[in-house]
Formats: sequence, C-alpha cells, structure tokens
Amino acid sequence: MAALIAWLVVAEVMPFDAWLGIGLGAAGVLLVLYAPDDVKKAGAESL
Amino acid sequence: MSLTNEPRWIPIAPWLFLFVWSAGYGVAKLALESTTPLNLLALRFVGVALALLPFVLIVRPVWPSNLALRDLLIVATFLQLGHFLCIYFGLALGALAGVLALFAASQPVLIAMLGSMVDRRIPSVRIWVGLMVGLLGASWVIFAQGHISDGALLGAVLGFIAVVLLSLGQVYDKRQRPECDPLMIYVIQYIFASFVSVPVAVCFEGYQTEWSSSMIGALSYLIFGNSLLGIFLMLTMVELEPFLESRASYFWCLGWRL
Repeated sequence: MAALIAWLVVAEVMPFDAWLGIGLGAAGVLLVLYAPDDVKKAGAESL
Repeated sequence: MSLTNEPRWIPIAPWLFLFVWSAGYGVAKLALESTTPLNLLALRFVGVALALLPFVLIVRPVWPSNLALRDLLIVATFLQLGHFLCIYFGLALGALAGVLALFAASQPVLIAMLGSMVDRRIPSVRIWVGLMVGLLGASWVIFAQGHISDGALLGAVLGFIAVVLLSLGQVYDKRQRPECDPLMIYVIQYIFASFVSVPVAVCFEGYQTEWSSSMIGALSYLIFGNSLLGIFLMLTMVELEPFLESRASYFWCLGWRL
C-alpha cells in the first residue's frame, strides 16, 4: 500500500519484479503472526 | 471509555490505520522535496505537540511518576527520535518508500525475535523461518531495482535500523509498562522529541524549509493524519480490542501498539 501511495504522491515506481519480494516479506510476517498458540503465548509471556 | 456495542465504523479501523500509516512514507518523501530530514523531524514533532496541547488543557490528565516519565522518555528516544530520524534520512538518501514500509511491516517478526532474546530464550524455528523469509523478501525488493545508488542502499540500511529501533522501543515499553494516561504518553513523548530535535536541526542543518503548497499539505498530513488520526485510531483499537481480535486485519496493527 505504501508503494502504491508513493507512486501516486511522488511518482515513485516500484519495479514489477520487486513485488515478489514484497510477497515474501508478507509471508515472513504471517508465519510469525499466525504461529500456533503455544508459540504466540511464549512470545507474549516474554514481553 | 466503556463500550458494550461495536461502533459501525470499527471494522474498518485497522484498514484505515494501515492506510494512514502507509501514506506517511510517500508523503514524507514529498515533504523532503522542500525541506531537509532534521527540519522535517523538528517541524512534525513541534506541530503534533502544539496540536495535542488543547486536548491536554481540556482533559487534564494526571502527570506520571518520575519512574514512568523516565521510561516514556527512553521509549520516545527509540520510537520517535531514532526511528523517524532513520526513516527521513533514508528517504532523503533515495530509498524507496515501499522498501522502508516493507521493513517497518516486518516489525512483528523482530519484536518476537527481540522478545525471545531479551528473555534469554532461543527463538522458535517458526520465528527464525519468518525472519529469514522476510529478509529474503526485503533483499529481493532492494536488488530487484537493478542498479541502485550507494545512497539508496544506505537509505535501505537506515530503514532496517529504523525498524530495529522501533522494535527495541516497543519491547522496552511492553516490559516496563510505564503507568500513564494514554493522552499524556503521546504529549510527553512529542514534547520531549521537539525539545531534542529542534536544537539538533538548527545546529546541523540550520533552517532550510521552503513553504510551498506541497510542503504545507505534506506537513499537515504528517501532523493531523499520520500522527493525530493514527493516535486516535490506535487508542480506539486498544479500547475495543475484544471486538477486533477476531479480525485478521487487526493483527497487522498489533505491532504498532504502544
């Protein structure tokens, strides 16, 4: 979304190939956010 | 505030927050066409502090204890000063707004990693895999641009440092949990950031701001949209957490909670 808004606001173009990397980045975050409950609980307790 | 029914607009709050936050990168880049990173930092902090003051006069929140105040200033050093300093210098050096936003979006992974390390536990395999996949994605985005300048590469590195500082600030905040009125948290942090950033900007850059219409619009957005609306949405989402926990979009915003 930030890349799209930057394109609209300052005409900054994100190369087409880069979108695969954005997908990988999102996958990495989702792996942690949707970890099984025991992993999430351990993370929450550590904080 | 005690709410028993879900307000109608609440389902879109996480998405609105994501939009407001995402737009901050492109708009900051627009502002940096008319000013310098430290000047923008100082103008934003002073603007938000001034905009919040009337609310303080109306609500009159309780001043926190010295211990809580110390914790708030430490958190502000990481979250406000360190984080935004790196973001604005990164953008000024030529890093793509999308690249810096991608780093920032990986914050939940870093928080999970830092939380484990602070607790002297080995992070789970899932967290390691998430970090590796995320870093691979970020590297892909950076190098997919083909030939990139040294400035853009340094800017991307600053973007990574920015999210590390942000995560450190949040881990510290969650461990210490300084007791303070939510409004007071932001007021104290923005006033502190103003007192630090203004002299630093004057000392290192002098006053370098060209007040074009795009600059006024961009700064207004950073103050009223990115900061104030963002704060309002975040406080509302925290207040209505039980309504939002079941929504996937909410989890994207979890890492940004103070």
